[in-house]
Amino acid sequence: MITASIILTGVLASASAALLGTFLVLRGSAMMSDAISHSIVLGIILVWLVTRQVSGPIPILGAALAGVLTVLLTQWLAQSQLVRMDAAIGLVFPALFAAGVLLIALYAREVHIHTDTILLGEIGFVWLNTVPLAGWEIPLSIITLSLVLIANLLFVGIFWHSLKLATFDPALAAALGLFPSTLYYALMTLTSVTAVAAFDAVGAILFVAFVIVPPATAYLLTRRLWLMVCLAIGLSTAACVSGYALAVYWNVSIAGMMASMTGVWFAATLLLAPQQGLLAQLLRRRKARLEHDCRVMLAHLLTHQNTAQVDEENTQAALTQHLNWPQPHANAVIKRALEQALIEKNGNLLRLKPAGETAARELFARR
Amino acid sequence: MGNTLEQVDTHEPGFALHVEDLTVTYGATPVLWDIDMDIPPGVMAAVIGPNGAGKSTLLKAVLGLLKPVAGHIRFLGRPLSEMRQAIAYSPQRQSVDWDFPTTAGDVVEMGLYGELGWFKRPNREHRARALAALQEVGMEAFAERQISELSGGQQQRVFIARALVQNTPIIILDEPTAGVDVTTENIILELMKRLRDRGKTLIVVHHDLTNVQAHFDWLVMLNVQVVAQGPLNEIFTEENLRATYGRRLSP
Repeated sequence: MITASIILTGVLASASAALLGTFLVLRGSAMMSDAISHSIVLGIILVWLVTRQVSGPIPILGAALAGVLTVLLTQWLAQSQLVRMDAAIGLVFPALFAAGVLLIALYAREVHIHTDTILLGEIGFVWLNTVPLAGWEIPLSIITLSLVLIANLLFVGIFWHSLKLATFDPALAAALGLFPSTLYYALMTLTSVTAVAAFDAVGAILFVAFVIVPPATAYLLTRRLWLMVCLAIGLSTAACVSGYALAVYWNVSIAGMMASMTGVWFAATLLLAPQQGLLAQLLRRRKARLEHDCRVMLAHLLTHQNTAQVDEENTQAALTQHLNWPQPHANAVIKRALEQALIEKNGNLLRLKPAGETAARELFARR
Repeated sequence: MGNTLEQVDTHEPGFALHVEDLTVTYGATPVLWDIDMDIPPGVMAAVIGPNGAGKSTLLKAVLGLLKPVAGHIRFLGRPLSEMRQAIAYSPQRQSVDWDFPTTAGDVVEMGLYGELGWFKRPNREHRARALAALQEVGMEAFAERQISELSGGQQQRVFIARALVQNTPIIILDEPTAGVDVTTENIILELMKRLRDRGKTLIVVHHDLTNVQAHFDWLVMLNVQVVAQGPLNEIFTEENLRATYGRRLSP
């Protein structure tokens, strides 16, 4: 029961974050989620000072306003053209975050907000705070996060097409009368609400990991928006389950391990993604280089084949000495040409076969 | 008079686009200075001028994407708010991220989102229209292609198909031939001429002075202010070009 509620909390929070995060990452506003998740600390403490509540709908909406305020202030600063967007983000949220931390230190020492909680959350204790629902004791965070996930799903589902266009081409969206900036603020408001709801569970910093990392990973795996959303949610769910298991096994922070797993997925994908992964790119470049140099060799053999220097030029040694190729590379090029029946080896001499000669003549004809 | 412009039913209905006293500034710097411009219906109009002349800004202001300091704009005599569905717009190709996860067919379909509004979804008929528009630019084979895999010229044609699919009387294009080879440029220019011959009005920011004369029939020469405007063969003179581009004649 405790295990289930912890994992479910993680899954709900990370799925909500990844869903909205997909659009933030594609829009190039990913770091705005970082700003929002920090600024809500100020929102949470201000709401607590006024209402003495830390959970429930009013604190969540009140604290989310701090996130929206961050977006507004940042946009306003950036539009003044006195500072750039990234600097504007960096100017606004640390100020609000610092104000929040100061207020906690001054007025709210007894409330359960500690620095660790702010940064990492307390997902291990979400099962302590429950409410009765249909005869069950359901953790409050699960109820809140479920509602948030439903709201996010509805928003993305209903506005799917407009959101897609507003993200891809805001100028056209505006020209078509679709009010992309209204959609943007709605997206940011929901991001703020999600950040507040997820705050108890995963804190300010790990929230950013769930907003950015699963969509960024999915982006490397697909070129379809709907699939990117599905993959992002799937990857974050897998990160929560495996992260919990490993955290218990190694006895480390549960939320920290969950976020780390999103990083593991990303690193693995960056290396191994079938189309855009670094390994695939490396192999493609290797292959292209080999094919290219194979053509260079064919041209070289053709130029010298009926000349007096043929015995010296058309040999393996000439490839390393005259063409200045390292031995292994020369061997690889020759091996490939032999495999493709473009050349044959006659003692030391490399001779063009008809197919190789045709290919080489085509190279010169191309000019 | 007594009436303000907003109360008048139509104002200058004889022009596809009527711009009067339009001024746009960034801070204190004027980008467009007191623009008066009229484009009659059924022409293929080029807007030319050096870098920084305010060509894209003019299109954006006309489309309501920028708030002008002063001035008013009418399409066929009516304000933009009543005419959105009659205008298709294609921004510069570089203004969007071509690594966005979507297909060519999907991008063309986006042209119909204005018709659909916030809540409606495209159906089979919309997809058929998008495909027909792709066919018109000779790109139907690429409908399912990821947009990052297209060449620059193909991306431009997808953008034009996205403007075509809206089937509007007025089409506004920002540099539709920027960064494409000569063959593709001619395909695009011929396509635009076919649209003009169907009675549409095209307003196009164009950068290549060498072929303006061969393809366009109306010209607006811009450098913060309007230097000259009118039928191309009357105003495409060396004197006007010098006045627009300053001493250096190459754009």
